[in-house]
Amino acid sequence: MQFQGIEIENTFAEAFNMYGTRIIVTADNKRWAEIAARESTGFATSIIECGIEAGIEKELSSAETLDGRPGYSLLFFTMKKDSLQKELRKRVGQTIMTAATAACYNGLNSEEKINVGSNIRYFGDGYQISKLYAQRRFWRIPIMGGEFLIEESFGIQKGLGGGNIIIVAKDREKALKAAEKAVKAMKKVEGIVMPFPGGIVSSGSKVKSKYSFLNASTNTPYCPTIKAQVETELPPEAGSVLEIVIDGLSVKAVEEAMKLGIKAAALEGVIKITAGNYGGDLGSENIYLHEILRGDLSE
Amino acid sequence: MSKLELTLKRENPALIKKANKIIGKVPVEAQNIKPSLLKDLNISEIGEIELLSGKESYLLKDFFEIEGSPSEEIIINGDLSNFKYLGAAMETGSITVNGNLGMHAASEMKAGYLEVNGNVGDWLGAEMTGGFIKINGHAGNYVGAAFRGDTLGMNRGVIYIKGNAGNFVANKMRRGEIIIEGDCGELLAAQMIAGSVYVFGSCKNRVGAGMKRGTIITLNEVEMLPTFNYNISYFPDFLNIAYNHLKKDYGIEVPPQAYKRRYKRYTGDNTELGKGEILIWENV
Repeated sequence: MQFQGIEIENTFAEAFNMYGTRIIVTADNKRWAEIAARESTGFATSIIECGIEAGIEKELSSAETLDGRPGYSLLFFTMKKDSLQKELRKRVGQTIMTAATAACYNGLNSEEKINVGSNIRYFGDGYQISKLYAQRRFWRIPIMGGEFLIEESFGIQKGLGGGNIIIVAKDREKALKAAEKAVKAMKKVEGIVMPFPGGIVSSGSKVKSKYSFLNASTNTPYCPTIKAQVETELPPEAGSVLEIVIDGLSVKAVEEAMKLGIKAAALEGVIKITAGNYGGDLGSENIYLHEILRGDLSE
Repeated sequence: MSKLELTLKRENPALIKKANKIIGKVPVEAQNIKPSLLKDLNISEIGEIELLSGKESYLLKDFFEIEGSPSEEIIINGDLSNFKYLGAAMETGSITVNGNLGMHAASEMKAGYLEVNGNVGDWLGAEMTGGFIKINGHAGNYVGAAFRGDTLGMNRGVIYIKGNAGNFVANKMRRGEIIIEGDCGELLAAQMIAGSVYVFGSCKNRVGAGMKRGTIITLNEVEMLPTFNYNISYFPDFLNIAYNHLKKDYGIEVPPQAYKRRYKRYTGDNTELGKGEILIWENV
């Protein structure tokens, strides 16, 4: 099946249940809100090596934030609730509390919560002050820059990690152009992030390696420079492959993002668009490309 | 939605008369006029509710004309300045009083809403643990305070007074918020344990005396006790959240000058824990 002349492979993205949360970070100006946002979501591409997956969901105007300052909405995902709390404690403590003028608040209205601010408050060495407004507790922690304000707990909910699309193109330039357009389109979807650099994965992996000390290695069937050396999934004219991984707070949001991404990536020079999976036995959700594009495809 | 409307009779058992002239009123204990109690009764049963006045026991219908239908929403018309404990320990629904109201109104309130379109007496919301009280006139002494001998005053909930308040407001307050648009008397938040008090008008002497923790925010200069220390002049970010919360959740308009301006931060009382704070808006 094709979308605007580009082959859409009849396959699926294999995604996994994760726990997600949304944090709103604000600062005195956009520059420092962005610094805090980028630092806290940095080095959070893959759960395997980073312990957490995270990204910037969107920018928020002063009118949209709790304290009337510019901010960013951030999403964080891990496999377990405990690890989400542990990782957030580290990230908020080391990258948001340390960012000049920054503050952070819960952005997810959920009954299930994890305590983050209630742990970080101890940094205040007994001089921290609690404020309770409409059942939301905030901690004011005295710091060298003034006061760090953080909400006591953050809502969490089950989400989905590992939604993905893979763009196979004739060359590097065309693959990047298509992937960039896809990322731009997918950013419009609320409740998702693309945790890799710029939203794009240049070095997707496969499970297993020839080396016993490694669990994963380069995705050889999709590496264009070794096409002739391995059992490839690539057509002869393929010159570059880029992947976009999506984590979301709901299956629907991930599906919507994949759909918009595929449509936006269907550019001249793209040979086919596919998705990564492990045969369907490992993940909790299989997202079929032909299903999400139902009605948009042609023979 | 149905409402129950009670109108105070011109002639009622609490009036003390001499030569056909009213010379005083006997206090009436009105804690039985409570939404959770009245909503499940019929009009006839509501009329039979017991009200104590002095050493006598009367019925609600002896004092009030009863209209409308049984409801969690109660409207009371008349000068109730001799009615005590109205809304005391209320846990649901709303009471609106069109007139003045006496002492102990909504004391030990747990939840719900009390609005008074008039003035109220002492001990308003004393030891309340939840709910919202709005007074469109003035309030007496001991708003949100602890009763004599008790260790904790108001512990959650919100009291909003559009006029002035008396002495000992927020005495031993533990949690919650008190907002006074006008002025308040002496010993504001004395022995305060925690919570927030906002005074948009002026405060008389001995603000925060003996306070342990908690926050007092005032938009006018305060004569500080010598047991408080000045720390800094700054804008605390949490005030944006606090003010927005007051507006959004309770419809309380904070004066625009209170936003984004510097406040002097004093901490004390150093005769106690010393972790209370007084934030004084700087008109610069």
